[in-house]
Amino acid sequence: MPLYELYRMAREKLDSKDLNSTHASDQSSAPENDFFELVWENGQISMQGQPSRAKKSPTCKSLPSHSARIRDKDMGNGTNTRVGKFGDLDSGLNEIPMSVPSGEVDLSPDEDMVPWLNYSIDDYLQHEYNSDLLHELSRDTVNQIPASENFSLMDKRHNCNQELRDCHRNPVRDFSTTEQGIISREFSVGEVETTRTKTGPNELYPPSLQQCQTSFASVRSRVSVITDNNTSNATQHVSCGETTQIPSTSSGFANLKMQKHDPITPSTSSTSTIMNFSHFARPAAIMRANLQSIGKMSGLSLARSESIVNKNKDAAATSNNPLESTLVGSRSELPRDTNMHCQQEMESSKADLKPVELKSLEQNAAASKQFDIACKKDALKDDQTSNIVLGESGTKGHTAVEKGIEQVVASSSVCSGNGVERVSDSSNQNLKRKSIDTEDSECHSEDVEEESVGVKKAAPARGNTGSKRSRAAEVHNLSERVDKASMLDEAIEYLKTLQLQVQMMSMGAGLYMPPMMLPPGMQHMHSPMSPFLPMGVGMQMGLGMGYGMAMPDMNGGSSRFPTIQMPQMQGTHLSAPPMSGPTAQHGMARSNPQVFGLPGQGLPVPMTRTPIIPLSGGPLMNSSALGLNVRGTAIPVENMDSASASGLKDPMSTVNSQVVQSTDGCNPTSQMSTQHQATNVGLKESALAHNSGHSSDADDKGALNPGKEDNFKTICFDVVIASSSFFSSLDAKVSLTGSLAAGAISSTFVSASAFSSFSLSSSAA
Amino acid sequence: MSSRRSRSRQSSGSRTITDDQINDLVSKLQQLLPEIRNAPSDKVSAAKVLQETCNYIRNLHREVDDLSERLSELLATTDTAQAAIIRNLLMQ
Repeated sequence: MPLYELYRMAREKLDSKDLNSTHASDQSSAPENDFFELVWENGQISMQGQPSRAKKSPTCKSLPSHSARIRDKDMGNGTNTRVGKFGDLDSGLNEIPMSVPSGEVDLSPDEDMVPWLNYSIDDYLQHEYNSDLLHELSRDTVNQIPASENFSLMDKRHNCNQELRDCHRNPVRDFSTTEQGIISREFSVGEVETTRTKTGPNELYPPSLQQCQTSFASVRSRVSVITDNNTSNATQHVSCGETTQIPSTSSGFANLKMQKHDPITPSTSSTSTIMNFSHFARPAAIMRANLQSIGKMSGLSLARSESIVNKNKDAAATSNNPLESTLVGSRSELPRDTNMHCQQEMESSKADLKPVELKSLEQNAAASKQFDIACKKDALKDDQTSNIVLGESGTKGHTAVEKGIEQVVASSSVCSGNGVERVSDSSNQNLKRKSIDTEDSECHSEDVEEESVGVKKAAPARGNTGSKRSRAAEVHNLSERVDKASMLDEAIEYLKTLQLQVQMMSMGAGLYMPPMMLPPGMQHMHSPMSPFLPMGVGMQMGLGMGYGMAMPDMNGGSSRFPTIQMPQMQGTHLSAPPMSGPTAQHGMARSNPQVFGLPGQGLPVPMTRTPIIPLSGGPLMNSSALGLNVRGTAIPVENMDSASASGLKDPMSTVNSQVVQSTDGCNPTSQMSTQHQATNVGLKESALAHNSGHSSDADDKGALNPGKEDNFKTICFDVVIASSSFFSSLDAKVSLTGSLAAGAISSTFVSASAFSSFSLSSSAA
Repeated sequence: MSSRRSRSRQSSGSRTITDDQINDLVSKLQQLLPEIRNAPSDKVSAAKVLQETCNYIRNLHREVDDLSERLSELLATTDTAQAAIIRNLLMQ
């Protein structure tokens, strides 16, 4: 604010002699016109109750009038915010007062208060930076301005400003921390509001700290309300329960302002300025939040950050003091990304401003560009425009600062359009009215994209949501696809698990059955069963083998296995079926529904019950089977017990071991070559069974190793297939057995049982 | 299972789910179905695969129920130790 005054002063005094002065003068003049007009309109509107745009007056006059009006309103309303606004106005008058007052005027006092508060925050920040120097300057400038143009109200303002400034100075001095300074400023604002009559800065300070906090909170709350309830702000709001009322009012006011602006909108700048205010307020709140806790900044939206950046720029421009650098540093930490946005916004704002106010806006844009460049040159490294601006301001001086401020104001106005869109539905009207608004909306859309949460309110208002919609559609499609893929994946997994479960259950039933059945049978029927017990083992082996066999068959990879294995299978089956006899059929029939369970379950049962039949079947069967039976009489039982104890997988391995042992135990010489083949086959089968066991393990634990999915899948398939195809294998076995079996009865039984089971299974399938 | 699910989530989480991936999943599913496992994938429509999957899952459920019933019967006739083994097996 003081800078602005200084700028004006410089214009008046220096005119356009210096480049900076010229730029400043041009910019200031152009922006002043725009802003002032708006302000005037606002002021008139506020004064008249409805805006009268026609009147255009020097910014100084308009400002004081606004301040006076605001004060009046504040007095009438007795709201602290107004006072704060005044203070802000005082401070902001120098910098951006024009635009701010316009917005305030247009809006209800409360609404005005919000922008003012925002400005005040910025101003506070600036004050903090420049607090000492600027305060003096600002005071002088303020004093000068009011003396020259302002009304008696200006004195009041000055008083408020002075108080605020004093407060600022005091906090800055005392705390030296920008945050505190800001707080103090805010406090001062709050104090001013509460204690306008009280001009004593010192008095204000002690209470000001608390009040300031509250006021800050209120301001933040307001800002947050305006800015779609930012979380950080919300926290602040929560902290300041007292101020909550104000935020609500402010939000309502903001809306009102927006609506009001819409009617007034013929001068887009006014709306933009209002929006700017809101933006500024947001950034100011953000800045505050940042200062207090940078971590909170993350929650803030990019738009806010952008606005913050703008504010930072303003602040930087306004503040020449070294303190600013520290603040800027803190700011820079918060929204680095925002700088880009700010720059974009600046550009957009420039473009927007151009259509609206070609001359002044262009000049402003140029000035802003110059500022940006200068800032970049300043090598703040943080890339933050604010920092750059600050550096520039420090180097170039007040004139540059003033220009920067003006530029900032322009940018703010541009941003304001965005803010308006966000805040209220009037954005559509604004869009219609101005093409610039669309640009703003675009900028907003970008911001919104980045900050979807923060800008939820803004999103609906925005006209450029096509991209978002398309994205949403894409996301939707993608989600659908993901759903499909996940569903398929789940189905696959579930199928695998189900198959595994079925196999495990069948195997468990089969494997479990033998131990159950065999041990008692073994114990009781040991003498007679002794030769046949191995048969039972062999049966199990065959079954297990069958599973292993089934796997290759199913895979189709090795056709030889079935053929090779078949003999042994025959032996086993032959031995078993004869044993089972009618009981086997019964068991088969029972187990038929459970295709998988058949091999394990059906066979063992018959084994126990019908020892005699096996005898007949045994000799008829392959010699290999007999050999196996003869050899492993004692061993198989033990194996079985261990197998039963160990579990499914272990049994498989044990069975294999049994086979190996049996082969080893028997005399190769006495045995036929077929036996050797059978043993070999058995070994192979055992290997297969082992593989199957591993596969089952893999199924259980394969999930852990996604890379093994393929193998795992194949294994699972094999296992499952084995279970499912086992039936077919059984059929084949039956046929083989039928052909090979000498005992027609056994073969018939077997075939009948197999057939029945097969038919059952087929029917079930 | 948990690992599998996590993997599936990861795959689903991958932003690029193409038709090829879905087709691949369908083919995998088909390979799990004995009815149409050996049928060329190009001759079996995804709908067919899904339908067969549903039927197959129903059959599997039935088998599981039957097996569980049978196992329960076996458990009823066995001592606690063996029952525990069976339980362990079932738990798998």
